[in-house]
Amino acid sequence: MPNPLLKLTQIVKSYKGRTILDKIDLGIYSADFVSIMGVSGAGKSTLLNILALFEKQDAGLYYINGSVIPTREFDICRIRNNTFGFIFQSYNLLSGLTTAQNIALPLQYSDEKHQQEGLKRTKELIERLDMKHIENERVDNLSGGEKQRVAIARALVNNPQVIFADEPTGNLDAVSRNTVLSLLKGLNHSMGVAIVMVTHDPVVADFTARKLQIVEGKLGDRQ
Amino acid sequence: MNQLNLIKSSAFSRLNINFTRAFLIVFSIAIALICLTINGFVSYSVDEANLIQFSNTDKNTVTLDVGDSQINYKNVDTIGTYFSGCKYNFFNKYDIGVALIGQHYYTFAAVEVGKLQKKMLLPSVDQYGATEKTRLIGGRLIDENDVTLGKNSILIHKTIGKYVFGETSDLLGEKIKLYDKDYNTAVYEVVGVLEDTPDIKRTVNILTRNSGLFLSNNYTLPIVLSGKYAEKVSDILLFFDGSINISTIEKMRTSLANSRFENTMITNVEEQILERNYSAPNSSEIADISLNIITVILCLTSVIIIFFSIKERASEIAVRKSFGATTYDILVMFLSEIIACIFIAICYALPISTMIMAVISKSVSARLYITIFPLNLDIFLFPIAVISLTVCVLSIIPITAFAKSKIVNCLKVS
Repeated sequence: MPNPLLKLTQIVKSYKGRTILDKIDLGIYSADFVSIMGVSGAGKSTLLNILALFEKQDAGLYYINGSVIPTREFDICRIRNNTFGFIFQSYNLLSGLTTAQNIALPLQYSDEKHQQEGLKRTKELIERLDMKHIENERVDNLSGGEKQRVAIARALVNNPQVIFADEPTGNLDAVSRNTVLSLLKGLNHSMGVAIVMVTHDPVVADFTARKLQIVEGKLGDRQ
Repeated sequence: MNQLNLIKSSAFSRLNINFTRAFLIVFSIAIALICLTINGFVSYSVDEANLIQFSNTDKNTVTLDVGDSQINYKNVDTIGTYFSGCKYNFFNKYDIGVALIGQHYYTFAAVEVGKLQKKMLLPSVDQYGATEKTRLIGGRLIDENDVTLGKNSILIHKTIGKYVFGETSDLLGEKIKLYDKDYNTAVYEVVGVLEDTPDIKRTVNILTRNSGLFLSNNYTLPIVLSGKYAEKVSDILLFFDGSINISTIEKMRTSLANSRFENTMITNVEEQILERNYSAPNSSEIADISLNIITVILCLTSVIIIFFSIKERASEIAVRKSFGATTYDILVMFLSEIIACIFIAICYALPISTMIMAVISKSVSARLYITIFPLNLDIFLFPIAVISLTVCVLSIIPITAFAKSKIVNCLKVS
């Protein structure tokens, strides 16, 4: 078994005296495609936020590539920029910008070398995700499915090792949902990027290779 | 899109800023700048005027205290500041102009035309010529002997001399007989001719329009004969020794006859003076306070709008942070936007405030015969510095708060 890319050990997180995550152990491996399910308030988004370094755990250890997560803001920002990619439920594209500009956004915080590579990748992603016709279109004018494709391309532009997706198909119709999920699956296979996806929809979870479920703060495999 | 520009343009997603809000920010800052600039202009003028204390002892006399010296001036009405060759000229509407020399408040000379008292002619500072940017082109300057021996010597500007004595006169040695209001006379001999300066020419045009004669001596400054002495100006001209140009005299007489300085008018004016309070500083204080309040309100308004703009863009902050932006990056992004707004506001505010100041200046000049040049760099720089710093510093607090807050919280806010 290879070493996990991300490893959570005995992670505990509580809100207002209520334990949301109770001694969670989890390993995310390269090219993993994991879904985390659970009822509302079960803690699946909290788990994703901890994985994505949006929040800190109350107890337990979190390793990225075998190293404990750093504490300095700058180092955390480097990891978010170089190692992680994010897809939000409501896309969170910057209105007023074009498709290409939104995709290139993360490069703004990269070093020069990554910027050059990222610019090439921007072009590749635009073609690969069939967005050539909307490359210079302002994102405000795009449909939901197109917006999510832009968000996926943005998440991929820095060639991350892991992509975190929080209900990525939550705002899409069935057709767009299947398109986006197929796209994610394809990218997972072809690029080897690990994807950790939070969803409450079993149909969406069925697209993933590993299905996890949080019940009463505990994480287990979903049958 | 050009690949190289792609990153830069995404950095400037700040253009994504709500334009209505951006307009309000620019508008508030611009108005605040205009208020503070005008306030600075008013305060500057009043402060400068207040460097010299005026007190009204008998409602008809104003005492001028400068350093250890004290001089009384009669019939001084409204005090204003005239920024020209001499640093401070205090004119009143009906009487004599009084000027302070150069950059030294304590060394000054003044002439009270009505009395022609030589004791009032105090030596000026050495830098007078430099201050006035004038040059002797004929004859000599007034020296110590002129004062100690009681010689009545006077310098005259070339333009004035040619105007009074005619184009053919060489001016030196010409005699000027001046009358005071009691018809006491004194004859002054022109001992030197000063080169014209643009200021002098301009001043001559202004002053001769309303009075009639503008002379200058080495100790100071222009001596302005105007107002109630305008009547005497014609006499002065008639009593000039030398080859006075008759057509000039006629011209001056016509001008004077048409001017406001007629006897009946003067009588009325004197009555007005007795009743007049020196309200200019009070008015300016009210303006000062009002403009300051407006400025503070507008600065706060700008900051509040900025706060809501930041709050509105909390999701953008979250997105940028999730893709690697540090607190510093966020701070720089918003501050650069604010600075851009301030810059645009400055571009609007400065010409507008200059125009407003020019209008005020023109209005004051028309009413009080005071000329004020508003284009003083200090007047513009101070408001720009104050407002820019205030808005930036006050904006840093909410920006930092949002930039430092958790990504999930920013997403919740949005």
